[in-house]
Amino acid sequence: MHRRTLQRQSLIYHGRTNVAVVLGVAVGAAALTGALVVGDSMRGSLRETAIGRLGGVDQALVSNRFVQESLAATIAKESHQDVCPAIMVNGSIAHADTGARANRINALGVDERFWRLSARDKAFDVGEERPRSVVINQPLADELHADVGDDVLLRFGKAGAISTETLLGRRDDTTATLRLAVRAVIPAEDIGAFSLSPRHVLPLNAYVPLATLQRSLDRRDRVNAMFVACKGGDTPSAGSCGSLQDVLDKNLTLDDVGLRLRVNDKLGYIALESEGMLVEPAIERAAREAAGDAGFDVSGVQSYLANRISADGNNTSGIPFSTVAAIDPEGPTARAMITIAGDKAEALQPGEIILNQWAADDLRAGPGDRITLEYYVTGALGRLETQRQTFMLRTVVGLTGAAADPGFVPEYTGVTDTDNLADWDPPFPMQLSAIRDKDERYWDEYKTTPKAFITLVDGKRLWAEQADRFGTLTSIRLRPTDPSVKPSGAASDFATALTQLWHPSELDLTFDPVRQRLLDAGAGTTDFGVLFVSFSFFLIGSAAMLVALLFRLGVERRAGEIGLLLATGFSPRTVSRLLLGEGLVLATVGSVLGVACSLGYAWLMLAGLRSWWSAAVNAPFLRMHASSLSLGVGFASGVLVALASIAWSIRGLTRLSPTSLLAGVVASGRERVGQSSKRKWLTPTLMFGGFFLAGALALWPVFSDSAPAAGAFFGSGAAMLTACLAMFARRLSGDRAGVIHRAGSGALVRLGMRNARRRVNRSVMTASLFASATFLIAALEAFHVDPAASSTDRFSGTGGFTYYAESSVPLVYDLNTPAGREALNIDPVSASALDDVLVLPLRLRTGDDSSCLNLYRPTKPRIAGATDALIERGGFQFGGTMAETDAERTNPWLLLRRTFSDGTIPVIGDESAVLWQLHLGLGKDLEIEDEHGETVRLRFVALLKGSMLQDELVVSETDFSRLFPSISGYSFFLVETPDEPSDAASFLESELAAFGFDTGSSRSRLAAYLAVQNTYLATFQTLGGFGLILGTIGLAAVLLRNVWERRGELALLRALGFSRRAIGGVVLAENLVLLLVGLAAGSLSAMLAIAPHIATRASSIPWSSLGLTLAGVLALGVSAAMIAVRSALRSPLLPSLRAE
Amino acid sequence: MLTIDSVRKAYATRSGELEVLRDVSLSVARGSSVSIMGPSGCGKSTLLNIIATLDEPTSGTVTIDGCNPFELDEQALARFRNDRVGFVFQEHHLLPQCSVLENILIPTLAHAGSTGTIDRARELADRVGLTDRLDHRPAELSGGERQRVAIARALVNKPVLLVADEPTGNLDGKTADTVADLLIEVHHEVDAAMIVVTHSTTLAERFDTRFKLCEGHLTKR
Repeated sequence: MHRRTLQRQSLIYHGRTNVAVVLGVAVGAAALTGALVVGDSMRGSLRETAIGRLGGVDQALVSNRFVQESLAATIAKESHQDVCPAIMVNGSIAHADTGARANRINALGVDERFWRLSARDKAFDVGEERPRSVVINQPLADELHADVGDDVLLRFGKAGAISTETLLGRRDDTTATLRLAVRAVIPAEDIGAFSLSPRHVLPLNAYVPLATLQRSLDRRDRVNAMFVACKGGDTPSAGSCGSLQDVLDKNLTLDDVGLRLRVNDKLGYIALESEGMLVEPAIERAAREAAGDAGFDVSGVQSYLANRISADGNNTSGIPFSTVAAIDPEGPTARAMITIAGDKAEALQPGEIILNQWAADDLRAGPGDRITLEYYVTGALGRLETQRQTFMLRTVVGLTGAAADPGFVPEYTGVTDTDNLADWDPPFPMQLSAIRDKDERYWDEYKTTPKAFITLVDGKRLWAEQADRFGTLTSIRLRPTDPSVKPSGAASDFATALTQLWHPSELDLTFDPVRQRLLDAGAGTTDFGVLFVSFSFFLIGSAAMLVALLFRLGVERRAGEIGLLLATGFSPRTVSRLLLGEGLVLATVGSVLGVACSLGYAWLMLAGLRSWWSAAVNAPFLRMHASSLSLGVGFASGVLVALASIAWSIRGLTRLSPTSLLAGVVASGRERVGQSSKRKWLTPTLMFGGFFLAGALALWPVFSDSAPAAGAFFGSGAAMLTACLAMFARRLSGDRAGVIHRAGSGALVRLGMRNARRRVNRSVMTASLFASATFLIAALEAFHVDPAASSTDRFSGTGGFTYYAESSVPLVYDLNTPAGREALNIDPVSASALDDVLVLPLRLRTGDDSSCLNLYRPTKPRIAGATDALIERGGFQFGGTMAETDAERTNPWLLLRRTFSDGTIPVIGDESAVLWQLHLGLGKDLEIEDEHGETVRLRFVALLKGSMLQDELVVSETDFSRLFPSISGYSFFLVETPDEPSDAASFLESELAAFGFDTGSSRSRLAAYLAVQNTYLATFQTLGGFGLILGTIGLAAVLLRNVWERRGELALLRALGFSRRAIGGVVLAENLVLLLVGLAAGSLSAMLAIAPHIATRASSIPWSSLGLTLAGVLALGVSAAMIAVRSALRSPLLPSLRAE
Repeated sequence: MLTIDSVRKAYATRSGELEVLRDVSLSVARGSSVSIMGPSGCGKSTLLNIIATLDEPTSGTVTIDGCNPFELDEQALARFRNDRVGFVFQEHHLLPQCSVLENILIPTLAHAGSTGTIDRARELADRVGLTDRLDHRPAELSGGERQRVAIARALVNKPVLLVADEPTGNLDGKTADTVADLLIEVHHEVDAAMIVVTHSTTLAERFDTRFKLCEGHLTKR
């Protein structure tokens, strides 16, 4: 015979109890492992979804520039990869017949090369490509209620090369509309849901023939995107695709970047010009460096248009619509000018001006006269302002040679290509009546030759308001340093040098390892495994408690056996090991069973996430994925937790004397007799210390912003619970019970309550179970946020804005002014709908949604640029700020204007998004890449609390323009209306349909975010409820045990003549005491913990729901008690008496 | 081989200290037998538990085979008890999940190197007349048979001290006589000191020395 034999036989003999223990272990292990499997499933599903939408694409280049389409073929040939050219634009689409509309869709211009990127076994059936056709995916078809053969109207932005926020940027022709016939509807899978952004919501995609889109955008043979499927299998890294970036860099031409070289051998220079009119700062830097390397002298030219040139004091109307050039007076151009009157041109100083002879004669001006230039500058939101500047006339130059060069002004369609001045078509108002015949004659002969010259210093000062953004020079002039070299012969040398020196990353032309990026994002922001372990915490804890309870009860019934083993010479340690050995077997079997059942638990959780908890995650794509690691960890954890519970349950048992155990006594004499010396000091300490700590922790967040709210909440609740239960234990252990006499229900109740004092530990444990369940459920109920209660006042989560809006095509005009509305073709009569409506625009760099609704980790967050108007207005509620001044404390938005010595840019984000999605906090930095590929740090200077701005991070407009200079106009809007609902929203949508203007209710947006929190709370409560049910099973077992132990006493009462009803009352009273104490302690602790919450939001605490929940907890407990009562009343009288 | 000197045992109660044994002294030589009688609740079982090292005296000394077991640590005390003491309980306390043979062998599992072996267990089973019942479970035995198993169990490690607390208390007259005879026989065979607590005068008179415990004092009869 071995000890193992004894253990095995004991396990089998006490099978019924052991089965219950195994089931308890199984429940805990299933919940724990199942939670981990939920995490696996979420990660796996996110990855599957993100990667699935790429088809075979590994890397992608998407730019705001349009490069030559042939570049894709060149790259494909040199890198030996499949490279697919495409166009990607945002837009809106409407059913041509029904008017049903979808905004913020992805319009892709593709050809057959794109469809070959599909990773499906069966290729998409996209029908025969026709120029005026479109393929849409199923979600878009559903949105439009469109089918094959229907006509749709696709609208998208048609941004020109010149920014709409410069004087020459065209603002009146920024959208294009295509009428297309739906030729196929494809399922939203694989490249049918093509998206380069990690977002679990299905994209709305329209696939247009590439050539059609190119024509509509006036970008023939040009593309702004390339998709690369690396050969050799699933190889997500850049290295596996070969050096795509190097091949791109090598083959990029000036034309790809919108640059051209204009050679003027006669005047001996090459002019580097940009189709965007202004040479970007990155190009200027590279060009100057390349010029030096290639043997050129460099000078910059800044051309501008003066509405009028006039001479002060001379009785002339002035010269209308003249070009003026800002030049470097020390450069060769100035040196080459022939002076008619005054000093040499190179003597020109800031504040001085040179006129050509024609202008000087017209103005009757001479050196020393004061000449005034009148010109437009662009303000915010398309506003044009007329400014004037007066100069001193330094020199008059002849209209010959260097001064008679129309090449100072780059080509500009609608201006430089017209025959007459009156035919000009500039993007700003022109008073044609001011044009004189002599002006037309000048134009005929000299075209855009400048009539005046100022220094570059003055030019930059007057006209380069956004120098860092767009650049300041309209051309860069290069002259070979070797006079014998002709410019035309050296132009290609310069072009080669420039292409070698520029950094494509600064030009928004870099390949993005999109597959790897999406894989990284697929890890998610929230570890759902850990989250569901937290949600299941109470269930797991209850299971552990149940295991401990059942094992203890089983062991107590074997008290005689244990006593015998001790009596025959087994040491207490040996007996403990024997019992633990049995426990290990039960824990292992239970965990194996639990792991098997965990898949069912996980399936249930996933079904919940797809359905009744969809408000939190909205993930219909969730599928089961279970890693062996999770199963292993779950199994091991299940065994450990169960073993720990079992070890805890048998603690002290083997310390009892063998004779007590042999007599069936399983409680220590100290517990039975009264307060031990240890409890004498421990209980008051726990009591008073607990009350003090509870109060301190509850009040801490009231007096300190730095107090961690969650810690204070749980800490005060736990401390209060401990204090209450210690007080209860002290009461039970006391000696002051009076004599029970006088027949009646009172005496029966007191008798029942007296019985609770028999086993103090067991009674306190029972009360603790209900206290902790009540605390959790009640306290969490109070944190439910009612979105409907969110007010529209300025300092609420909506910031006082009734609506928000987003446009597919940025707007450059101010919706708040009649001029802006007129420029947007809004009918002034019906525009009365916008009376008293304030529309605050924000710039927007689209990116990954940072809100809690996005399951993916945002790798490229959406960033909005707040105008001064929004900053000054303020509003919203803040959870924390870095305010230092009173003004900043009053309006934390002012913090966006703060400057940091290390160049960090201040940013404001929503607290929930920053904390849970980005895993950062107040004062912490977030690294992003700006448009030039440079890493920039954003510092959170304030956190919005419960706001509707979870999707985006907000910087100032100034900082935004520095980060993303090519993004013109405003795409995000906050709308303040006097009433809610308001007609303004639908009016704006209708009038601005061409821009894909889409409004939404701020309350709804906020409600969607708050629903995430509420749903998580509901999940916690649901799983906590399961735990409570499990705890109730344990409680019933304890109560039954209590009754069984006292069956002789209860039989005696019956023998003495107590009615069944009276005996039932005694048993019920005993159990109700424990229930009510637990309920009271839990409720009191919950109220204390949420006291700060109540103080600020008393009207929004769901008291009725809370009351119902507590009533449910009480009902569960009473039902367990009734089981015990029934058992007590059914015991046979005589056998029970004999057992006593 | 057993000497008890001025042993006192008191319990703390809500109402104060309750003294059960007062200045009890006793000496028992190996091979001899002692019976202790007394009214219910006088402390007979308490004294027996102290002798069997299952309980510790409040004061006084107990020496078994020249050793005071209460000076040993927990592990050593358990070993001491396992090696030297055999206890027969009134309730027999057989493990229901083990067979007759296994119940007899239980003390041999406590420590490695126990003197008891399976052969000895079979031998003892045979001695107590249960050779044919080795595979039976306690539920299949009569009260007397169970008590015989308990006696065999108490002897498997060849104890020097055999104590029995009301060994025939739950048995009918004839069975009680049978068990009593067996007890006395095997005691002689193993040459152990035997101490028996009993209500039965008939049984008590069969032992070498008789004591009476009354109001905590032990007096020789």
